[in-house]
Amino acid sequence: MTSSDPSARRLCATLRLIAGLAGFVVILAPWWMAREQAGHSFPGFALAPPRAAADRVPYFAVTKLNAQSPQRKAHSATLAELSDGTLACAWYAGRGEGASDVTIEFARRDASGVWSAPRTLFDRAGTADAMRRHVVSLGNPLLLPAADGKLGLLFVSISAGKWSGSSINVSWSADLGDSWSAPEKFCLNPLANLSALPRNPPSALVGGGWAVPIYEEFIGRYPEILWLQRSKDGYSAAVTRMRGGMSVFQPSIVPLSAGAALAFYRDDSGVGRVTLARSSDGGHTWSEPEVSVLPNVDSGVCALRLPDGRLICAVNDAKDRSRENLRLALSADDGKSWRIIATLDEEPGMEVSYPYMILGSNGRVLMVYSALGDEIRYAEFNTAWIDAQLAAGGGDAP
Amino acid sequence: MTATAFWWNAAGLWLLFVWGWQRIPLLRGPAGLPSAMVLAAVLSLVPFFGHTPRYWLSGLTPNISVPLVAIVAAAIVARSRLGKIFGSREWSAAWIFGALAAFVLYPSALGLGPRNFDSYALGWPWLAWGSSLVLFGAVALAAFWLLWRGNRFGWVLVLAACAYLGRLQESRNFWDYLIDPLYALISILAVLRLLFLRLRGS
Repeated sequence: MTSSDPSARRLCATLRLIAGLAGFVVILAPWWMAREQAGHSFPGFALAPPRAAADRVPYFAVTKLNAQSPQRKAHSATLAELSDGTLACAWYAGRGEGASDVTIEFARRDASGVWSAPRTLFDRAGTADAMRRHVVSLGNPLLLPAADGKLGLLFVSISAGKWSGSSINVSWSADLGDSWSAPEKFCLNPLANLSALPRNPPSALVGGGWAVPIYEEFIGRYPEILWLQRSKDGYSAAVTRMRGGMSVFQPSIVPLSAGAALAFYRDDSGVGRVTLARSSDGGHTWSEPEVSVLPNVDSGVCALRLPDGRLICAVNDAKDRSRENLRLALSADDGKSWRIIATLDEEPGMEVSYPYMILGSNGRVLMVYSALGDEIRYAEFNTAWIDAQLAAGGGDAP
Repeated sequence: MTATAFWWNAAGLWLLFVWGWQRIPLLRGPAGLPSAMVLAAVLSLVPFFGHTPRYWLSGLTPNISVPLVAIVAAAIVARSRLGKIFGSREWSAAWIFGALAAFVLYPSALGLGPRNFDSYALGWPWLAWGSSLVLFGAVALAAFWLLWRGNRFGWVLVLAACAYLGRLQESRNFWDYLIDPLYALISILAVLRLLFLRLRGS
């Protein structure tokens, strides 16, 4: 049988056809096998059941969380309520943003309301050793309280340069933050895994995952959602883009219902306002951003839905476009109109910024933010205090 | 980093070093291959500024694609004169696939394409099952066409799918098994060279 033999040529052609079909099937296999998990993608937001305000007496308190901090910079704090009702807070601290001595710090507040002394969870060298790769610096932690009692921690490691060289890692604690697993890296970008940063609170999903608002800051600068969904071997991570471009980023997402949500974007285009976008399909797609009346001086914003359905948003609102005050805006119509109701904190000539708010199981708003460069402050207030601000004359249109 | 991802990256880097050593004429041919392999192993283990090259590489590029490993392995075999894994058709297919994939992937993934479209998201089938069929289907059709035409590069695409199923890399995105920045760069340069030669020839 030679290659000129027609039967041999037919056999070769048949074998090549079979090989081609086999290859076709093998390549489609992973896609087909993902169909079951894909059935749970974009499952909708898990909303906490409506709660009446636990206390009717106005309550507002601010405390300094890192009283003995030796670092010059403490920033980007995150907060979570744990399964035992205590609070956990994490932030990054060091000589400055992107410095080699930046560490991820962690503190817990016990049932009596006393914050523990901060302790270091991760430093640059330890993270590099654990992940067996070069790390320049760390940053932007974000706590994930899972329904099964585990506590997750996302944080950024920078491989090269500054924030544009960052990627997101995850570590888990099964003992409410006492011990942590070795960090693992999420691959969220095809070009050297650059760059993704978490910033604002995650939204819980139906079925036990999260929609984590993140942003990219490399060639473009835009908001994204990191979808963490339960899988056989833990959590699957994937990203969808909320909107490309160069101007809006650091999204804060507020679920309004299982399918509807409102996003608040930090805006550095010079418009000086927070921009808003809406989703009606569980966060899969988002509307074009619309400029709101809320002030924004190119600084972080954070929004939250109160137990009674009203929305609050913490923003910097200084006349000179500085970050010297942190004010609270209220909306009773799902973000269509806003009123500034109170100044939460003010440090003339200095900075109070990067608010991070969650709703406590007691119905109170729990908040952490950066102050004076090296402080992390914790604020707690209730809806009665918000109503008191309104009654006292707060309620200026921004 | 999983153990498999660690060893995949280490093996990929070692192959690149073997290929690099074979640039030296003395290390080409079947007799030079063992020396090139040993020297590559030494280079892989020698610390630069306190760490191995793999440590530095993993910080910047966590995923080495299957086609890159395949073309480097094919180049090593060819330079060692041990046989011929890739003929000219396979090389052309490798460069064209790499350049096309780079063109589809990188601009939109870096935010340079349509504002709300991210082609990288097509590589996560559990997230958007329907739209990810575009990527998996296109690669499956390419593999079918190549294998049907007797082009061995089709097997490389099949191997990439197998590696994805076996989670050989740290990434769980199919794109990272198909392309990486180095393969993209080499492919684009090779395609430009092919085009230049063709234009000059005509």
